[in-house]
Amino acid sequence: MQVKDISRNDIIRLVVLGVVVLLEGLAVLSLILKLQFYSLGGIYANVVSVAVFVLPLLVGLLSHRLTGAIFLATLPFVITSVIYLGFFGDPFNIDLFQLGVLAGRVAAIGILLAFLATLGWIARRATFDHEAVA
Amino acid sequence: MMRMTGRRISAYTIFGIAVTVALVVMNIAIITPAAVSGAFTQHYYVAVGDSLSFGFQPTLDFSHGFADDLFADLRSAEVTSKERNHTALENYACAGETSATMINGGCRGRDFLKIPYSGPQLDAVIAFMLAHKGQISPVTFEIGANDVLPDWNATTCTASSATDAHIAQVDDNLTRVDTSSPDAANDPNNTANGILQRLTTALAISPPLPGVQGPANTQARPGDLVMLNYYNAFAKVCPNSAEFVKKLNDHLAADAAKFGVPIVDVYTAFGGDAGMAGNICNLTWYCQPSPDIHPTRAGYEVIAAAVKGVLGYPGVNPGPKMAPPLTSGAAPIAYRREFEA
Repeated sequence: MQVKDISRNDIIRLVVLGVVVLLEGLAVLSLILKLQFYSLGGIYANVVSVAVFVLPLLVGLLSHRLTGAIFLATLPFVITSVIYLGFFGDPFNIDLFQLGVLAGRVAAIGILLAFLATLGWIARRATFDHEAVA
Repeated sequence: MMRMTGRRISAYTIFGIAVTVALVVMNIAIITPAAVSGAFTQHYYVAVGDSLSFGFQPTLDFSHGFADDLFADLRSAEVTSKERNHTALENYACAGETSATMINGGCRGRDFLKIPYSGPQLDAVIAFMLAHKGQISPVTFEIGANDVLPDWNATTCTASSATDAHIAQVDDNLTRVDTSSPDAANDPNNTANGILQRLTTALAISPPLPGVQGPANTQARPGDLVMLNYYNAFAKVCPNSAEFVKKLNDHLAADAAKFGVPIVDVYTAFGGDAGMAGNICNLTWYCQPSPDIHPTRAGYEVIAAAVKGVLGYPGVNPGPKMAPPLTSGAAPIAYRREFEA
């Protein structure tokens, strides 16, 4: 009943958006764990590296709201970080004075993803969705 | 206001929850240690080098070298579990090996190896790598100390005039490339190629790009290859020996950089310029009545921690024997594996 109020185009957009977010999640996992999910030979690293930059842009392009774009673009990395730490508990074994360095690196990735999503959202607003809201 | 948009917000909330749950499930399925170990296909840890990789100690305890420590941690983290004949890691190291004997044979310790092989160590390693394509990671490699150790006189604290020539020979043995043809350059069995060229091409899975040698081929290298530099065992008795050791280490770093191979900074892990002299009696046997340059068990643990710091594998922490903070150029390296979960 709640979905009824959403237009068909919006439903399609959300489905595509969900798929893109999940793909971004896979790309982030692949980078963090250095795993190859699909055999592409030597170009796998190139493909995944590009994907991690392009997919947050797509998330921004597909998002009507800026806050949603930033949330969805950073969500895969946040979830991966939390679950990864839950399994491996790295900070417990890290020297106190390196925690800040680690936190800085983590924050930098979050900022990068948010920036890319913002860029995508700006492109959306500037081109085909002038009513996109922050 | 909220009521007007309530239905729409609810729909988006459902979408957000669905995406979040999907991401959580996906992450748990992939990150679980079992899944990670499944992703890391059965593979070997190969140690290549001299007495340090061999794990030599004057107490005749040869089973607690850094390669043994590292392998134990990799296994406990389920990063690697491949064993041949259920024995141990693939440790080809030969005590007393120089860069020349690694290529040509004639290692002083060839009668006492952890893995029996005849001929040069490099030939045996290459043969193993070629027979186990895509199943080898990591590879730890260190060579060069025995090429220049005879040049240092610990009694007078002076270096021989032949040091530079010997270091140049190490450079050549490590980095030379047979440029007569692309095929010759990319042939890991071609003894005209240097050690790093042969190791990197043997590790590669994809055919190398024509005419491209060295760093570009790291794209096609599925296994992690790291190279260790050396600590300074003479730091306490000869403070001026730092220059001698650092000269060798600088050359090793430059040689490794040509092939995109990360350096494990053992020199810094042992205390660097400031702390080496203070640590060396604890980390090596050099302060004993019969001085010996080899690490103690504690020293080997420090080296293993430094290697782990550079490898940066999930679930394999440097631990209490903390490796120094990563510096630029020593970031965790990328390694690629087939996902077989």
